[in-house]
Amino acid sequence: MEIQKRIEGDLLRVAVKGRLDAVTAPQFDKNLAAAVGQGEKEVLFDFSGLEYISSAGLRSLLVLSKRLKTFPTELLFSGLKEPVKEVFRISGFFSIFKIIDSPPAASDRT
Amino acid sequence: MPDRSVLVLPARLESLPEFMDLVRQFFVSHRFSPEKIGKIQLATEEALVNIFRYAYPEEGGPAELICRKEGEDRFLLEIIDQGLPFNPLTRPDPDITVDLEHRKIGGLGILLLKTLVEEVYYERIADRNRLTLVVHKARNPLC
Repeated sequence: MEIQKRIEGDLLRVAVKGRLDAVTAPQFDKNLAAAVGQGEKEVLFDFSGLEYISSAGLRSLLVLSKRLKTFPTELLFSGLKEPVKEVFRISGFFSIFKIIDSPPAASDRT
Repeated sequence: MPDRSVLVLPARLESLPEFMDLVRQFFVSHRFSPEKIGKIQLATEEALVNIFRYAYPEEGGPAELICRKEGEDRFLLEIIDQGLPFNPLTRPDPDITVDLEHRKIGGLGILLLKTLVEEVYYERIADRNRLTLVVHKARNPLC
């Protein structure tokens, strides 16, 4: 798994590539815990490089979103590939998270 | 291409990548599609991680994975441990309709497991838990 972060004003962009599973989820948690809560208003996950997510990854997202709610920071997801979409669908994540088809271009947000 | 592959490793998280490799190699060799292999890996991960976390609270022990071809389009994965008796299939499904605030953190793994493969069976035999996942291969090649 690879995580790339970029701050654009009030927005924190997080691109996640590879596999978010029981082995990599702790690394994801640690990486994100240190990055959020810095005054950003939105965290936008770019999942266009995410090939695989298991319940360990879903757990990380649930825990993170519950924590961000207190700031409050909004959590957005974009670029979901079919396998990840299916896992989100089975888990009912479409009703609790904002999921957009493709990440808005940086220029649209400034 | 073997019709049966077996792997026994210590029931701990560090073993997961090797189990995942076995699943990938076995089902690639039987010409399953990458999408289907992803689903099989996910179901297998969920079953194994449960064993890693809960089967051996004291000393640890083995986890065994058997992949085998049972019929022309029917394949089995057997996941066996010698730990505490545990039937994941009797656990109630989490409520996936409630809002974020009321969402419980656990339980999604078993739901995914049950949804992503065609059939799942649990048996307790001779002090072992055996979970059998049945997957069907689409007749259309590479589906």
